[in-house]
Amino acid sequence: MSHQEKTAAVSLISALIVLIFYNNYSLGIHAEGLLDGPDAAHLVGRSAFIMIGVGIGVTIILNIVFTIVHSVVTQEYDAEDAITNERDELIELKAMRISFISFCFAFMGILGVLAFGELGPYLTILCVIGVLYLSSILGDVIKLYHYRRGF
Amino acid sequence: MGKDAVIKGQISNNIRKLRFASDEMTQKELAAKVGVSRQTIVAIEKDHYPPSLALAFMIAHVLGEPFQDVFSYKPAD
Repeated sequence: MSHQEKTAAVSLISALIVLIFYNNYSLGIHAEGLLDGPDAAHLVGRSAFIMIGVGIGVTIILNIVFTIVHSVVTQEYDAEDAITNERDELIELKAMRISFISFCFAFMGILGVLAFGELGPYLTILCVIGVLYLSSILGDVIKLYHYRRGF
Repeated sequence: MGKDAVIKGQISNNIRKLRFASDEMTQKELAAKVGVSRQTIVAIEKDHYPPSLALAFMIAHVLGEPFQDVFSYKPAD
């Protein structure tokens, strides 16, 4: 597994972990009806900040753990593999494009649901943040696919 | 103008063969000399990734062979 594949895998796993926790949290406050309360804006803003912090922390920890485990299992660590070259940039661009397009479609969908009055404003923000993470996950999957299948 | 069909084809290479001919150079050594990762050399050798012109010229230069002896283009039938 190359350094870039490892980075994509770590990013994918951390995004999944954060998304699961964030989903639990946002569904919890939605179920409790807190999104209709006076503190809704405060809750949504705080949760977004916490999620960003937790996401960064989880990614750093996973990167360290993954590097150690990978080095121990394969008995090698090659710093030269960490260089990014033209193929990595092409794969990155492809993944980013698909991720961006999927986010745009999902965002339009959410706006459509909002237009029909099915979603509250704070729930909409939570959905947009969730979709952001989903599109990031899709981008990482595309990256892994191209690294595995070839490009 | 512009009505002609676009020519499609496949770029293939002899990198693997030339590496062995060039003092059994490893993929890692070639990668280090042209400044890419070993995985990129693997992908190029398997024809999974067509390199940029600059990289292709660098590979040919490192292998000490003319460009056309390293890379070839076969138009699709």
